[in-house]
Amino acid sequence: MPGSLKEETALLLEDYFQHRAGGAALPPSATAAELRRAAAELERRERPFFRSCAPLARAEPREAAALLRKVAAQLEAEGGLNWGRLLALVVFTGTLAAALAESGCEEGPSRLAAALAAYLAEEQGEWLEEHGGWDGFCRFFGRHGSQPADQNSTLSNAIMAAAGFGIAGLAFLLVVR
Amino acid sequence: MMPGRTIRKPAPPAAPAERDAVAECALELRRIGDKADLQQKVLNLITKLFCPKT
Repeated sequence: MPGSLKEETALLLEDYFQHRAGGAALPPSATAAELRRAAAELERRERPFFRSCAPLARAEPREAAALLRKVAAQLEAEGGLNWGRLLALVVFTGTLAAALAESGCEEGPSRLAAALAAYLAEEQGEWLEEHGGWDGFCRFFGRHGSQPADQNSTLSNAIMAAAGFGIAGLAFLLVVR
Repeated sequence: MMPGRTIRKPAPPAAPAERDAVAECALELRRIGDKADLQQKVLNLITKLFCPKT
């Protein structure tokens, strides 16, 4: 149902924007927690770029929403959408929302959340449904544990296992020669 | 012109500076998004291969 996807998307985005602006509320769902975590990680990794985007937000939320739609359309024009691009778009919109809120436009974040939710549910709804909706997002970004510590531990286990196989292979080659 | 009907002007075309900013932003977001997507796919693959229980 496109209506419910749009509502779910708007709620998730609003929660992330509020969290990013310093809101202390707990995430309302596991999906919201996963979106917060993945977005914060991407924002931290690409901070210089996202910071440089903040001045693009005008005082008017309508103008920021129009800019967002243009960027979103160009983003997916070449190669379509993938989860990484969707996450980058969410972080970009969060940057615009935070800039609007800082400039005193209180309804900016919710207007931008509504604009991005409309774009994702109406224009990319088919892609989202095909890829499992927001559950698909959680499966893609969050299957290794919800906490960063869990992720690190999973990644270290994987690296240790790969290193183990490598050492075993080398030992085997030395014995055979 | 029909009385009582207003003529809607078409939206003004975006200024070249804004067009450039939009294109540059979209390009960079595409690069960042594709990189994040690839990194996560590799991580998912490694996890699937070496930690099938997670």
